[in-house]
Amino acid sequence: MKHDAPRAAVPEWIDPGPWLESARKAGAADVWRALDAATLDESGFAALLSPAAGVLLEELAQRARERTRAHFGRTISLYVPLYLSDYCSGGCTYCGFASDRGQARHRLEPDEMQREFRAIQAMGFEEILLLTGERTPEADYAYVREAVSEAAKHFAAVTVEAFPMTVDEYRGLADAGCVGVTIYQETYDPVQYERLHRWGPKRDYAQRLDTPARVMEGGIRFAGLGALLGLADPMVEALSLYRHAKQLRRSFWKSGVTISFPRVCPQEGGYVPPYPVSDRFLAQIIFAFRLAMPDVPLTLSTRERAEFRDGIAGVGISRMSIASRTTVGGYRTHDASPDGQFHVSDDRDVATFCAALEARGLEPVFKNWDKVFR
Amino acid sequence: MNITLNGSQHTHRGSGALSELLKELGVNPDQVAIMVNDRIVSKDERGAVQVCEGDRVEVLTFKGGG
Amino acid sequence: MNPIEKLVLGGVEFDSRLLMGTGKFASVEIMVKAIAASGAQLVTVALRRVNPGRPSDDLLGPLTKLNVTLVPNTSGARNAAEAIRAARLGRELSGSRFVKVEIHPNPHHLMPDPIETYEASKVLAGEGFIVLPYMPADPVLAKRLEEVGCAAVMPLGSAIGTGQGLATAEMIRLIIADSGVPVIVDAGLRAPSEAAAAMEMGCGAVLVNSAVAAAGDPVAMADAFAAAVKAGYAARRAGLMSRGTHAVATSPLTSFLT
Repeated sequence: MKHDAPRAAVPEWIDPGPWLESARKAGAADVWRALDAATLDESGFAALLSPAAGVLLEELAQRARERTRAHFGRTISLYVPLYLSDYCSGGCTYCGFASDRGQARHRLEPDEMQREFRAIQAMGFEEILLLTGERTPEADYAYVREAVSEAAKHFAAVTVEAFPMTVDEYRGLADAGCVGVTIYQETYDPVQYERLHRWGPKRDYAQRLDTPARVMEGGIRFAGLGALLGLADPMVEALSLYRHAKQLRRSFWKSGVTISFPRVCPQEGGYVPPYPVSDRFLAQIIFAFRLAMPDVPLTLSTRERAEFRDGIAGVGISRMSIASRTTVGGYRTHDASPDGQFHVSDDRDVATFCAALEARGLEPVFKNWDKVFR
Repeated sequence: MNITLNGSQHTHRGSGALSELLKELGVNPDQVAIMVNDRIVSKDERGAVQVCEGDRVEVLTFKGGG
Repeated sequence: MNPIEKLVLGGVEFDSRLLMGTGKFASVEIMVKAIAASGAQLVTVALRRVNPGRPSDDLLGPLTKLNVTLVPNTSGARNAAEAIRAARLGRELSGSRFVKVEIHPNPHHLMPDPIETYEASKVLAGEGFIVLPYMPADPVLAKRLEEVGCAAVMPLGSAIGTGQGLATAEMIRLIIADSGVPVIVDAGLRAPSEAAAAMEMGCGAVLVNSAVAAAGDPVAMADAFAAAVKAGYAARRAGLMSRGTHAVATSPLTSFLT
């Protein structure tokens, strides 16, 4: 019998191996050195992930806020996710849309899409994130592209979180008005990756890993990266994610990266994450990224609780979603059913959330920029 | 014959062979690069190139530079 | 501590991270001694017309004896076409694939022309030259030049010959952060401490000329720059300590974390 172990190899260019030791064993002096460095490299970033840096968390927070303010001002960019379809061919153990889940599947038809767009516009949003599952006949490339094209008529910025595509397909999305594509690696640990992605096109670790490069090659302005925290050793995830982002910036200087910090919460029904990440450590990871990459938008979704989101807004995080529904559609009908892709912990409405940001001296921004030509 | 050498008029008193011209100028052939009418003449080609009346010849060498 | 790595330019490896220019020296003899003291393995030279009947000092012979790699520059060129021609002539004479593309149309401040530099670099890299472009400290131009096949980028620290040091330090930091090729600070340096600072920032090498040639004792100054570049590189590998003592703030920003 053949084992498929050899496929589970981390490519050298994202391998966190050489820095894991410093991430675990750095001392206070290493942390201060990293905090004072004008620019950080892998070892400096690793030091900021260390337990010693955890002791200095307030200092990290203070400096992260300075950097966030310097680059993004006292603002938070807001976006809203819209699930176009929950058809999925994937077998991701942790996901509410996995193809072995029994629920009935839906997709938005063109007229429903238009109604959702209008409902979301009425809430004030100018940036929309369109989501689907893995590629299916119901929600294929043509479907996503058409949705982007329609959304671009309503919103200043359209981003997509769907399935891996070819360079040409991404070029098509860019032409249709898509400015960002989010494609999380989910986990950078290849062994965990294979264990958790039980079937479907997503089984191939390397193929997934190369997707953000195709996004950028296709001329999409931003590639959104992330690891679903909780699936593997968070030190490995953070270091690999950092290296991945850095390499992409070097290779594709005309595009940018955004980084998100989705976390599997242990209290969620169904899936218990093998490597739960605490609030403190999640905050530490976010601060480390802010200090290492001061000009990268760092994103946090409504997976997190209101208290955590309010606390970290502007202190590292510069971009947030709000008023999210994680079921297909749902804005028009105000549906907040429990069958979504993940559990929404912060279920405040737009006005309440904006008031909370303003109380902290942060201005919510609905629109960041316009394309020159549409 | 009259040629333009390094931008100035120069009267060459020989056959037009590059080796003769260099000798006339008092330069070491190993230390110069030559261009005739904007075309670079490599060291291998030098024997085969004849300078003619009216040609523009550049004889260049290395000087100090940053 | 990070390992010692060689400087790699166009696949060719060098131990020394100090490049030297050969201009403005009082004599060839002092220039040769200064280069020897600097330990430089890459040395820039300019191409000039010979003066008939007035044979000048031979540079090629002494430099060949020093066993350094010549990097002909294209100084004097005011546009890409002239630079390309100068580069080809330089290769003919030096036998070296290296070229420093240097195009400055303005005769006063001698700032490099980004557009002509880009055009010339593209053509020369395509012809197999190992192209080292002298450029304004512009992060976008740096990526453009890398994209067309330059073996390094050489942003200026400040205007040629001004000795104003690393006036462009913050731009150079941005260039280093995203560059896939070595970043070599060229022009504007005056003191060895500035060369050390450039190396501490993460530059791959520095190139000096006036700072050595116009020093009180050029040979001693070349030696000082060599030591400074080594020190700065070692410091980069070692990792700088933090500034001063640190008082840790109370927790106004992290009190939301339980």
